[in-house]
Amino acid sequence: MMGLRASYSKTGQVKMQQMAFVLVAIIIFFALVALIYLSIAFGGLEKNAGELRNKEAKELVKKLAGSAELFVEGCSNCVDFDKAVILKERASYKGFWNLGYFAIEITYPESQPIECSKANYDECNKITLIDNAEPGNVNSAFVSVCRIENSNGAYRKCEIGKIYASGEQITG
Amino acid sequence: MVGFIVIVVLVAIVSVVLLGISLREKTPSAGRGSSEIYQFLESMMGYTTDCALQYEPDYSELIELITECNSNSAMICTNEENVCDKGETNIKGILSSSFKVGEDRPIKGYEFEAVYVNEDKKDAIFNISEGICDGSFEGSEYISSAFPGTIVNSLKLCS
Repeated sequence: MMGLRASYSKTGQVKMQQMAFVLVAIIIFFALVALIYLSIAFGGLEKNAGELRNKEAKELVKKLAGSAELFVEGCSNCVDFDKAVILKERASYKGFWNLGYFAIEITYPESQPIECSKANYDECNKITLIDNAEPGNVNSAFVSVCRIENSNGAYRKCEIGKIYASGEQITG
Repeated sequence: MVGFIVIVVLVAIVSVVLLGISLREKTPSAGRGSSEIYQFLESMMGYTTDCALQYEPDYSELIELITECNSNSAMICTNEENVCDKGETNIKGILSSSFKVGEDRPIKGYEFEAVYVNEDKKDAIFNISEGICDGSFEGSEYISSAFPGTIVNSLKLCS
């Protein structure tokens, strides 16, 4: 009976081992490339998230300026200062806007900010509707702040002002 | 071995190209449009001045003073002030109180222009500037009707 014997080529075995090492090296190489790419790609994610949050906050401020409670007829970028003073006093509007901070201020003519109340309405220039302990990132936008002026006859007077807000949602 | 080296070289070239494309920052443009500045211009043009052109208390908005100054620079308000002087005073006051400029401030300067445009004709109405404006800037325009042309009010904030 003839025995079967396989002959192994040493050269062939060495080449097979070389191929195995090369394959492992290629896999490690591609893994490193992928790691570097992912670290670069996700490096800017936090910055993009911050920019997006900022943009959302600016949109919120614009939305507030056009809300029905502060709307001025015939003017898209106006807020009604008289309405805002009344809203401040109304208990039913406490918590209406889910915001950390919400204020309207007349910036021109320039003067020290004086918080409005029923007693000093003629001299005041700022209404703070919401002021939580931790308001978060406050954004602002220029608006026209309008009110009815009664000196020399009644007329609508609009001044330059700013609306300040922080938060993510409003109801209504 | 040669094959491995070829693969490495190819991957390196492709990676460098992709890296260059993804890391390339947008060329900082000399000027960018700004919705915030547009809102400011809109508010500024709607500012109620203390100049009444016909009778009190029909006080005019700033845009009306600019339009009137363009069509009749000799026009005066009911309180005897010239509309162009009144308009310029108001514009300067609003701009200086709204934007503090300086070398050590974020805003280095600003330029405001009100120009009447009618086809190819351009007439400057107001040109107010403060600080230094020689770098990048953000700006916007507010256009109003002044038949037969338009008035273009532009503001540049320089940083």
